Amino acid sequence: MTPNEKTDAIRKNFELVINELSKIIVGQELVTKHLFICLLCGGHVLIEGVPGLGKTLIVRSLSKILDLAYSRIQFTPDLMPADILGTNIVKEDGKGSRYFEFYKGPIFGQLILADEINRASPKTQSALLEAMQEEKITVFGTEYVLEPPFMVLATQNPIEMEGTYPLPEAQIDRFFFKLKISYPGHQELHEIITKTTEDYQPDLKRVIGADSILEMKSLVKQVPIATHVKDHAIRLVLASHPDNSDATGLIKEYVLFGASPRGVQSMILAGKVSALIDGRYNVSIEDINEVAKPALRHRIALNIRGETEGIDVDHVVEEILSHVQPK
Amino acid sequence: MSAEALFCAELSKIKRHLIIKSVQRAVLDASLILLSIWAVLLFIERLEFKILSDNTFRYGISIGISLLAALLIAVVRRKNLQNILIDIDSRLKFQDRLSTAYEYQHSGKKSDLLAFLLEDAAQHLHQLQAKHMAPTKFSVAHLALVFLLVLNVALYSSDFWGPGSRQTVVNQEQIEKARTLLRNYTQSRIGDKQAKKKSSGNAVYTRQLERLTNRLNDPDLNQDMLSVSFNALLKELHSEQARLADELNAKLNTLGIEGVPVQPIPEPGKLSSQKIEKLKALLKSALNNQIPDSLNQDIETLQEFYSLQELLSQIIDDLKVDDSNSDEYALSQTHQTRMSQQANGGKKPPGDEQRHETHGKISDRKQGRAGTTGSPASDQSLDDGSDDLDGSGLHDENDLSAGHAKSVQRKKSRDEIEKSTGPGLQDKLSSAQEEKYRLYIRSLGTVGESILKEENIIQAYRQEIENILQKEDIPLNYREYIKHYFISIGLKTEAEAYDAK
Repeated sequence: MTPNEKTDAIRKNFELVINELSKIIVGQELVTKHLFICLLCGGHVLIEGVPGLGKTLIVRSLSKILDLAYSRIQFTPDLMPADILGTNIVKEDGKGSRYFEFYKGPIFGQLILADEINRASPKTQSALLEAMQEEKITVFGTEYVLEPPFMVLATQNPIEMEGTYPLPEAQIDRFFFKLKISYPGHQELHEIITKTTEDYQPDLKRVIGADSILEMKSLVKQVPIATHVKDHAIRLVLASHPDNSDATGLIKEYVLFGASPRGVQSMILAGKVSALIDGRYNVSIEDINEVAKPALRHRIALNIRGETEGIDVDHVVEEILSHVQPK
Repeated sequence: MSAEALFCAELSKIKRHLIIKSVQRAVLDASLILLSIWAVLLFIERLEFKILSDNTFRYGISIGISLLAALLIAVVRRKNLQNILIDIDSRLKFQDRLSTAYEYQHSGKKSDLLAFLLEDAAQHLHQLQAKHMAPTKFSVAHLALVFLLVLNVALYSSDFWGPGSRQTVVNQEQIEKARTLLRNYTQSRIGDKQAKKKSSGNAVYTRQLERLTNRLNDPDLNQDMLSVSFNALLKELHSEQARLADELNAKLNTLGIEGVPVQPIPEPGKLSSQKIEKLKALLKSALNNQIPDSLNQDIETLQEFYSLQELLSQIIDDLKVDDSNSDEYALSQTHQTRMSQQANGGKKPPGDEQRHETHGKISDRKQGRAGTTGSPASDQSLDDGSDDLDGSGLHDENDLSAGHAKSVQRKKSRDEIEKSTGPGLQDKLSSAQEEKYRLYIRSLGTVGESILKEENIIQAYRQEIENILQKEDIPLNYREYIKHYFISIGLKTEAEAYDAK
């Protein structure tokens, strides 16, 4: 497959995925686009939204469209790491001798739905760390490589605080994007009601296989990006730090610490996929700005004042985008 | 054609266009600088400061400076192509296609998608029109250029259409003739002076005239310098007149001769009324530094002026020649005057008054200024100006006619102190109005030799001063000045003065 064919394939696959998802998901085009970007970048997604907005439905629908091994983990407070990773169990052969056999947990899939991830204890949450970062796990000293493409889609409820364990910063940083699902509008609600309360049985097709995804992933890193575009992404990240000279008054007042270098990586990689989806062979500043919110919003931590005053991190990112103009 | 070659071909179009734009901008900058320099030069010339007299040199220098400065600005302001492509990308919403393609192609970075990117960028460049590459905006520089153009045209046209410039062009020939006349005149004067040099021994005056002739012989002499030479000549004449008058005055004072009749003007009655009027006009204009006006006259008029000027020089020479004979003449005249005063019971002879009046007229003609009516008051008010002209600051009409009769007021104050034996000091004030209050002061004599008591002298002085200070027409600052002056010479304080009284 030539690079040009790969580029065309990306555009076509994207359109296929969006078309298939639109059979189930009403609206949320940006969320679905970002999900696709994450898939090609090899990142993991944290989806945040109040109950009933279709977080789990999006992921389940995506698993049906993509020809990938899907597993779902419902996070509860009593969930243990072994429940996710798997464990050694004692087995007995025909001769009566016993041995340990590793029983793979749900992490051994390709598309993992970590539903309500903030309900599990930090110990269990951290069981995902190695898998998300290195796409392998270690159990009793034995490493197990996860099958690519590996993607974790975690959901969490932002308003329900009782019995939840906020994700540690280290784990949050490992999510490529944090997507927010917004309330549907009037027309969208009409469509949702029609699709869910009538006899509507959409038939979702598997449009992309693992091999296609891996081929597209290999092309993403080849997309050229100019130095001044990289500089712009770097300046965006640096401006999120309250002690930086480019930081605005809002950031200095309400931000505890800014985005990590993973923020820049996320923006540039996502920008490359965004350019390919757009039919271009280079990353533009517009691409970077488009993916800045999902790439930075979970990497900027507000201080206690920002938390108590209810400052929205998206507002902080918008402030950064308006302040940092391309040179 | 490969994608890279296509892209390079399209880039070369941009480069050509940018070079043209850079040259245009440099020309604009050079024009701005050049017009600024010219405006400043024209403005300075209007203030009569000559920086560069040679036009070719001036224009050459200013054009050279402008081009050099514009070149330096262009070098400093030079942008690299990458930044220009970024600018085009952002202006035309090309989403960084051109800049990314150029960077990868220029720096040799590798990418599987580079060929597609170059092709894509080349297509976008091909669609690009020349006006989109570097659009010409009406900037502040253009506005400044228009303003400077208008300013230069205004300054130049006002200079060109002004009276000075027109006359310079039209009367160039007349100026040349005037210069020749003036040169001949000074040379003839020098010849006359050299002839009289042996008898009079006045080498200083001759040397001054020689210097003046040398200046007039300078081939680079332009109109301004010609005016300066005219002024210098008139100053020389004036100062010579004043010097001769001073010398005569000093000699008469040494001999104690108070009143000497003025030497009659050689045959003034023979002058026709027309010549007298012309002489008046000449003296008013020429002696009042109105040389440019004089230059505006016809050449025939200038020749007439020349003859009149010769007449004036003869008058001066006669005064100078008579200087040596003035001692004997003054003695005889003093004797005659005293005799006539005794015979008339202290009254002045009628001829004395007439002489004084005649002398006043002549001295007015010598020192009067153009634009005045010739009345005594107006002529007096112009004396300050004539003092500035000759540089001495002390010569007035009485200096020129030294030894003539003094005013009654002066005589009165003098009689009161005439028995004092100390040396005489004359308090000369530069203002013509203050001349009415001129005082004669004598310093204190040697102790024991004084005829009058010191207290009496001081009292007399004090009364005189108080009378003068009571006059309403003395300005306040002059009152203070006079008061302080007399306090400084003896009347130390008001209290002491009262005590002494």
